[in-house]
Parts: sequence; structure tokens; C-alpha cells
Amino acid sequence: MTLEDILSKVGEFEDAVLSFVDEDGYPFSLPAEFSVTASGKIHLTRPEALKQSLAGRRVNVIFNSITPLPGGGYTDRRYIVLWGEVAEEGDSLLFSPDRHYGWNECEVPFPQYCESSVPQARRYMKRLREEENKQVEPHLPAPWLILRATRLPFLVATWIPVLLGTAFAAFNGFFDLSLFILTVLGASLAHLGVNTANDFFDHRHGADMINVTPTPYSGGSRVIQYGLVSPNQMLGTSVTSVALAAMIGLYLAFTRGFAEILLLIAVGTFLIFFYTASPIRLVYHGLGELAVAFAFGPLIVMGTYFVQAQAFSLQAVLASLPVGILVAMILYVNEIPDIRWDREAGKKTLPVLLDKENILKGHTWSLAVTYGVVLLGVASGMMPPITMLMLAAVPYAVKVHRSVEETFGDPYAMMPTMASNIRLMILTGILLTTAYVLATLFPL
Amino acid sequence: MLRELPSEIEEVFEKALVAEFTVIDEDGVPVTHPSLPLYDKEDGKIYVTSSLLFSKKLEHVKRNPKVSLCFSNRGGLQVDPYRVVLVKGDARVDEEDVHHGWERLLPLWRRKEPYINALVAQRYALPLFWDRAVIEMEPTKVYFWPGGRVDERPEVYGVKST
Repeated sequence: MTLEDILSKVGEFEDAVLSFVDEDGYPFSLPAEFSVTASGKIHLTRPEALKQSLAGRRVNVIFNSITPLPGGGYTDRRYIVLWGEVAEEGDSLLFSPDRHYGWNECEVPFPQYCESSVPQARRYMKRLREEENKQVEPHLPAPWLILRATRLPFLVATWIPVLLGTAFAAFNGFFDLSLFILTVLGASLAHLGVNTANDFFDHRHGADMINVTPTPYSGGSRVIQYGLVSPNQMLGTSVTSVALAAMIGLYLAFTRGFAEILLLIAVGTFLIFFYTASPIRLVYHGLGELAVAFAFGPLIVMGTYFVQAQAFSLQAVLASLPVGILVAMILYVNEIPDIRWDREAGKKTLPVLLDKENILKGHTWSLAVTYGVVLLGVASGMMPPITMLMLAAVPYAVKVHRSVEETFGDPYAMMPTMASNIRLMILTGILLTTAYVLATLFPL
Repeated sequence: MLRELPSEIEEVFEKALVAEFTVIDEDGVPVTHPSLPLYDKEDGKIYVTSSLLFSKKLEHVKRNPKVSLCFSNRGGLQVDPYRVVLVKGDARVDEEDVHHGWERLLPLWRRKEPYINALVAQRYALPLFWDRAVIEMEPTKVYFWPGGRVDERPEVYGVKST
């Protein structure tokens, strides 16, 4: 913002406070009436308490506004700070500003203001360590750090397709509890591997660093940017998670079907790392959403089914599509507030590649296909009629879509939308899983 | 300890949601920051906490401890009738424990902003924002303009530590 722009906003403030260094060496501040001249200077009334001449001195003038709320708290915080020289003009001072800074929470929301200042905090901590020998490190208690670094709540996107695959297997007469537990564990570890690898590679490519409007749903976990975890620790966590997942996978391969499960492990590992890693970087080529739909749909549901039934099934693929698409839609919607930052980082997510109208169309069509699959499945006899229970989620899907439309692009306004979009996937997945459980318990 | 001040001044210290906190930079130029002042009547000091996200003022205070706090913001003063108070003082930065050291000021903070509890409860959502240093200001001189009439001579209280 130019000084001219800033001066045009000064009139919106009630008070100006003039500060200068007093004869005793302390800063002296006083409110002063003010008016902006046509030539971009500011007339200030000379306070009676001001005994000394300020002619030729550098002073500071702040315009500050805050609106306390009746129930506590405040809103509409904004301030402008100007520096410049002062000339004496009879009973008034003529202030010529030449430098400025400021903040207006209506233009830059508080979380964004904080996020933009993270490098400053890290530099300050580094200086305390190096120059004052103080042991100051960014810190979060371990449970919070684990929760944040791994983005643990997002594991629900893995649990739902595993539950669905298991319910589908039970519907077909196959269910083993210990295999189910191993599958949940293995798939969860693989998902942790994805989340942490994604953070590592997004950090390496600078995508998360430039994003100053992250939310709990978008912009990564931020633990590397905040200095809470080093990039190498993040990569180590990812490799360990994937290695543990692979060990469970290998056990299942030896006991349930070597070639088939090895193939699923290979495809899964490829997607985990090359989602963001060089040289393939799927998400940088507009393939991220497709990869996610495939991984959280057919790959997990089919994999879970295979572990139980030792066979592949076309019906399992069909049943997996709604959940796969809705998990991809979580990503798709969460990418909307990141469009600007992803574009700067060279990421070609679908929201980066499309305009608003087509992004919304893409969302509408994805939801239509999600719920259309069950109609097709039932009509073709590939899904039991009770799976139409899933359609009970359609009104909620419509509500989520409207919310995407209404809050489109504003990271903070979109937070409830992003949360409800996740709930839509959970609701739909649980309804479909419940349908298969009911079909198993009460066969027609 | 502050010499006893008129209640009109202490009321300002205790109620103001914002004051203009001015420090002096390395070139001897004043730099003003809107800040939440916390007054401890027991020790007569005024405290300002600063997130490390906005730590420039800490560097300035460490280099030059002479600071001032101007209470004049009409929206944030929360006293009636309006008045203006300027406090000059010497400041010290306490950053021995940036994660928890500032929590000792929570009782004062709560008294002024009861909803702070809700923000502190979510502190792990914005971890670096809640890594904070405490600026401890010992007042040396207080200027008071009853009615906010800054075109008149102020009442001046030369405060001296005991």
C-alpha cells in the first residue's frame, strides 16, 4: 500500500497520537487533532504540554482504533503508524510522513497477520539462542504436537473405506476380526506416512512456507514452518510409518495372497511418496485429486476386501467409488482457500486449473456421480437395494455445496464448510457401510 | 513502588483495553505500538506482554529501556469522563520462559479481558503467538490531563521508587 493510500485512510480515525523523544530521553506521546493537507502532509495541533521545538525532528504518529464489544472482547482493530519530520507552523505542527506500517483486521484477518510474522518469531528465537545463550525453542506439548504433525483426525478418511471394505467382505461371507485390525492399523500407518511426506515435500518445494492463510483443514500441519519439527524428523516419521505399514502389508501378503497384496503395497507406496515428491509430483500435474480418489476408494476398499476374501471384486470397486470421490472432494474443497498460494508454488491442483464457475460445477458433478453410483449399482444388481440408504445424505450434500458456493475462497469463512464437507464423507460412508451390515444381518 | 496516584489515573490503568506503548529504536526515533497494559497495583508496575511474532519492540526495549505509555484512545479507554494519562518509565524484558512465564499475568489479564480464558484454551492452535515475553515497566513520571484537555497544563506526578 502506498503512502498516498495510507493517507486517504487516516481520516477514518478519531485520534492521532504524536510521539517524540523528550529532553529527558523518554518518549513523550500526546493525542493531537489532525487534518490531512492536499500535498500529503498532516497538520497537528501543538499540545500545550509541548515546550520544546520539534522542528526538523523525526517523530512518529499513530492512528489507532479498537471497538470493544458489550459482552467482552473487541472488534475492528486497525492502526496506522507514520514516521517523518516535523516543521513548526505557528500553533500547529506540519508533519511530513515518509514511512509507514499498519494493520487492519478487516483487510488482513488476525490469523493471517500472525502467520505472516512467523519468520520474525523464529529469527528472534534464533537470536536469543545464539546471542544471549538462552535455550528457547518453539514448543508444543507432545500430545498436541503428535496430533498436529500427523493430522491425526484426518485418519477418518482411511477408517471409513476400511470399514466399508470390511462390511462388503462380511456381506459376501468373509470376516476375520484379527485381519480387520491389521488392515486398520496398516492403512492408518500408511495414511500417517502420506500426511507427513506431504508436509516434508511441500516444505521442500516452498508451497507451505508462502501460504499465510492456513486453516486446520488447509495449508499443511505447519509444524515445520513453526520450527516444532525439523524437515528431517518429518521425513523420518513418514518413512517409519510407511515401513511399519509395509511390514503389516508383507505379513498379510505372506498369509493372504503374496502377488496381489504386494501389488497393492507397491501402488500405495508410489502414491504416498509421489503425490508430492519429485520427479513425478502428481499434485503438481493436476492428478492429485484423482490419485486420492483412487487411493481412498478402490485401493483401500479393494485391498481390505482382498485381505478378508482373498479375491478381487468388481462390486467392491463400485461400492468404493462414493467414498473415494468424497475423500477427493475433501481435498478439492480444502484446496480452494489455497488457490493463490498453490499457484505461486507451481502446484496444479484442480481448483488452480479451473475458474470459480467450473470448480463449483466440478463439485456438483462429483456429488451427482457419488450418489448416482448407488442408483446405478442397485439398478444393475451389483449393489443390494438397501444401499440406497446412502441417499439419506443427499440433503446434507446439497447443504455442503451451497456452503462451498457461499464461502468460496475466504479461508476463514470456509472453515465450517470444510468441516461439514468432511462430515459429509463420514455420513455417506457410514450409511453405505451400515447398509452392507444390515444386508449381511438380514439377507433378503 | 508508585507513589499513591489519584484514583482517576489508576482507574485508567485498570480499565484501558489499549494504550500506545512507545519505545525508541536504534536511530533514536520513537516507535509506537498499540498494546494491552496490565497494571499491578501491588507492585505499582505496568506490564505489557509481547508475542515473539511481534518481537521488534523487545529488541528496542533491551537496547533502550526508556519507554512511555499513553492512555488516550477514546474507543479503548473505557472510562467516563474521558481523560488522558501519559506514563514514562523504565522497562525490562523478562523472557526467561517464553512458553509459560507470561502466565503469571493471567489474573490481571482476566480481570481486564475475561474472555482471554477462551483464547488461552486454544493456545495450541497458534503456538508461536502464545510464546510471549513480559515487558515490565516501572513508572517514573505520570502526566494527567483531566477531561482530556491536552491544551492545558497537565498534573504531573514525579514518581520515585521506594
